[in-house]
Amino acid sequence: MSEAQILHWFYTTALGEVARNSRVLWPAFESLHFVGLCVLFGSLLVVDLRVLGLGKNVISVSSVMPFIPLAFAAGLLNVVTGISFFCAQPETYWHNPAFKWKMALFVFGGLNALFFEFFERRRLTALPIDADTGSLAKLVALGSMATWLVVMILGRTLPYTGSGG
Amino acid sequence: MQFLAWLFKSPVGLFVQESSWGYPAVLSTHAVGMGIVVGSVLMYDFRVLGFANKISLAWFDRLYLLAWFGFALNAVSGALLFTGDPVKFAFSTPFQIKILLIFAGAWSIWLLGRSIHRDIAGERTGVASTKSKWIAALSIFFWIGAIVAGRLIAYL
Repeated sequence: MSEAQILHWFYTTALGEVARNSRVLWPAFESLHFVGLCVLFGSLLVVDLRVLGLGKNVISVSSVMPFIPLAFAAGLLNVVTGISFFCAQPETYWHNPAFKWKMALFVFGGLNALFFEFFERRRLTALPIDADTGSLAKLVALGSMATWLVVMILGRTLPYTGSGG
Repeated sequence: MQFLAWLFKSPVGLFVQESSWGYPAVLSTHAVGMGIVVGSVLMYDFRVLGFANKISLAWFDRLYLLAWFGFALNAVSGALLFTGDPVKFAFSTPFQIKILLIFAGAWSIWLLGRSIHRDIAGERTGVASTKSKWIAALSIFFWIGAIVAGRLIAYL
């Protein structure tokens, strides 16, 4: 299948059809996408700031861990709502540079979070209160904050960077 | 009305309306500010309601400054967006509701901070009082409501 055929396939899905034609679904999903953004960013804000050392003499790293599954749940909500926006007008999104960068950074942010989950979490959970989390964990936390900030900026800029096609 | 027209023609208003990057830049700032304020406030509310209850409630005091920074960022970026089309915003029902919900949300957070400090002083446990939990639940309602109302400005 060619690129155009794949994009057309997305266009013809039932989800695309509903998202284009329903007056309620689009604003409802946009609102959900924004709430998902706040929960995703807010929960990672708590985790990353603690890993970076905020109030490390007050709480342990393990106490902020429940926020990680919450971040993944919010990320999933935004993938689902995001896919329905894409299906409504695949051509417009696909040919938009800000959209491509946003997707690349979203994937990077997701992989960064998975790396944290599978390679850092166990070690950090065992740390006593007030212990240093180490430079790799701090780098992952800084990378996470920076990535999601740029994802938000690109998401809000993307309607203005398209060719209008 | 005269004030709204003056705002529309002011240099700031013209910049937001005419500059090709001015409007998206301010809009992006507004989204980042939303992520900071609503993000940190919702996490605080969830904690007060019992989620991740191994985190000391006092730890969230350290997020307070950041939350208010996000709030200030959005007061400024929001005022700039307003100058882009003052008449449309001033007479938009979802916009008016959004502003009310933001005031209610800010008030609920101020109230929650006070209530939590009383809880901590009184009990020294990690469990918030029923009153604090009610305020946290209301705060979630106000802030999510503000987001929905904000989105609806574009549709109603």
